[in-house]
Amino acid sequence: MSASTRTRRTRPAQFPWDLVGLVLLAVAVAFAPDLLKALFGRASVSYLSIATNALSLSILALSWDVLARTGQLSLAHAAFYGAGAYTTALLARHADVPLWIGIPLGGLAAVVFALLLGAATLRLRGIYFAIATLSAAEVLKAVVHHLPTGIAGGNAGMNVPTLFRPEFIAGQMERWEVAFLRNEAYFYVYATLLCMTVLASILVQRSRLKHAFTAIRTNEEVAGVMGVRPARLKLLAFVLSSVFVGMLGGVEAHRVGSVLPEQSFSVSTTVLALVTPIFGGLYTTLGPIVGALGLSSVQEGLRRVFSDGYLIGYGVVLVLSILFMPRGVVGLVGGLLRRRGKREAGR
Amino acid sequence: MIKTARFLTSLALAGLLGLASAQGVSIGILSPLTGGSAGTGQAQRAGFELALAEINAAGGVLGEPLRIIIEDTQANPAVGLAAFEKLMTEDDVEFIAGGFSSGVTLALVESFRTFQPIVMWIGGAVSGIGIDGFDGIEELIGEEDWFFHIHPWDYHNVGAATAFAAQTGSETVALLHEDSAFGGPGSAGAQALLEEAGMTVTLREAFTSTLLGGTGDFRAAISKAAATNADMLYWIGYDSDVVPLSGQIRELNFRPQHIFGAPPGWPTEFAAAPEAQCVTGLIGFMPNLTNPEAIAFTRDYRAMHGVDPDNYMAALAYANLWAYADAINAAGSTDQDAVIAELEAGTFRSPIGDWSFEPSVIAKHQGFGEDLWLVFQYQNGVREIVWPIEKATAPLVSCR
Repeated sequence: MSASTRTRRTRPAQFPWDLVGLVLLAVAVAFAPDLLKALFGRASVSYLSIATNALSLSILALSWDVLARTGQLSLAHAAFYGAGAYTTALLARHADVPLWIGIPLGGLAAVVFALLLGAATLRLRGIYFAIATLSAAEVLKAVVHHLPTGIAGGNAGMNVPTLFRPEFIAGQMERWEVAFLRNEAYFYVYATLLCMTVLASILVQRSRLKHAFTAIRTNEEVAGVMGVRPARLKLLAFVLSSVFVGMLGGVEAHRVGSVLPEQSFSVSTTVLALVTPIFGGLYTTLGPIVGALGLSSVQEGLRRVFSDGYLIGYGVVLVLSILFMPRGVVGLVGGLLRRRGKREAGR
Repeated sequence: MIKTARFLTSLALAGLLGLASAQGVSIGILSPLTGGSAGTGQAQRAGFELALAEINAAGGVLGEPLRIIIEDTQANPAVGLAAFEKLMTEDDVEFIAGGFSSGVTLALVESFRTFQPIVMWIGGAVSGIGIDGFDGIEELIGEEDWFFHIHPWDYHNVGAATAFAAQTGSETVALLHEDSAFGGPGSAGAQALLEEAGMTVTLREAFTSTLLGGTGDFRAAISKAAATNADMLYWIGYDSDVVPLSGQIRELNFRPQHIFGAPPGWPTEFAAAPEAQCVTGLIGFMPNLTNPEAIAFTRDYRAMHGVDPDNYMAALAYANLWAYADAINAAGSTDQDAVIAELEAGTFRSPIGDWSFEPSVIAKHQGFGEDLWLVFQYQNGVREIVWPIEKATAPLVSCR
């Protein structure tokens, strides 16, 4: 401990690029809606919707990556997402809880579920852990199905009120401006949630947790011998990973106006959470965000050109990226920059 | 500066996407072209394409070729929302067609209300009637002047299936249903109607559809149904459940008098399988319907796409686009009030026969009701229509 303290004292202070990046991200999203409106007019409504979906994917991917840093291949993201969505919907329906309180409580419900799931599964390794976490969403879905319809809506699901309902004022605005105001508000909510997720990820990366997580990922037994407590830290990663995706589930339930078991506990949520950081670059804050923005752009661009055949192109991009960019986009770009730096230093 | 950037960006986007300036009337279509419901989406697209070719061959709409823009919803609510907003704000369409998945439709409700285009919808069958505390599509937007719903509501589907079950003479029915928003409320409604019709429901058991991640092993549910010795096995699931479920019914030697399934579509190749024999099913359109519209539609569809129109969504999509073309032409303009008036007053063509919009329990404009549905039976490799009697091509036979 004293040695590490000495090391920290003698290490030259690094420029906080990550925090600067977070501030730049916050500034960029703050101006994005108005910029889109100025550039594209009514089409900004559509672009904001697409951007919001990309933000949603970023939150999903980054929160998954936080747990992946401990070496755990979690397939429980659909369960956390669904737990958040259903908690928010249930509170809105039965307890008349204000919508803005329901969303954090959705995150809290995901955390509680993550603690229970983590306590039961985190001593499992590899494929056994993955299978155990995959079943979590199915278990919650079955619970929702079997609860009385009057409680959770059963198979039919539940209506969830929208968070924003701007008024249309005839003669003073056009209809698309109402949609813009609604999308802008949702965009800011998603952006805030993303900034919170990024901040949590940065704090993990800047603390000793980063090294502890890496040690657990590299060799759990050795990490334990070195004084790291794998079970406790993996549980912490589980909690950090679940809280934001639980809140995301709550926000999304309001945005799409309903929760349905198949929609809220969909396995595709887990698949997206897993594929996106692999594409962007694992174990970093930037990688999952780059992955989400990159994959969203590729998918949207291909969709507009190739209609329904776009998924072939999307699949090819994913396969090629896994084959030729095993460390993701961020790893590839970082490697190229380092090589260039070395070349220039050698001249 | 901003104007220049905007101009250059628009130019780049237009060049990149190959967008041509829109001429004539454009209709925006939302359909699940990919994802778990892609089969339905592709059938819809095939129906829309046939109708489009015919409409334009007949002179188009308001003297110009009609244009359709199909956007993929992936049956995902957030994707569907972005796709709808693209149609409204980038493509500037005034009319919306297509539709599938109640989850996507619920996500679109708020945005539909904002833009208020004319929406003529062939999906989103969930009504909240009979479900405490839940508002379905019918309750949420059914009363809007600009909303026209072509597909029957779920209570229509259940009503038709129950009417068929009642006329088979079955006294006991075992109900198996997939456990999502499709099969769950459907089975609850079916049980209520079957019991109202004097039949006894011996079992109501859920299974997870193979479409939604189920394993395809239905033996536990089938065994429970067999133990009740019901006269009829009535199941509600998806197309992908047809083959494993039917195979396992035979494997377990369960032989009720009638096996009746209500998936949205049936695999074409299933007709040739031995386990298909005597299985009955609910369907919205059959290529062997004998009315002249159906004969022409099946012939032209086969010529254009090289296959039979097995999924009834193709016929509904065809009816959907023709209704728009006829109403806009009759209105003489794209003025919303005029087109709504024509849609309300008109009688439209379809492979299923002529149809028009009437009020349903809540909705102001409902196209088809129970009258859409047919029941067919696999008899020696052929799908014969057995209900309603007036459209039957063969009598119903028992499985025992």
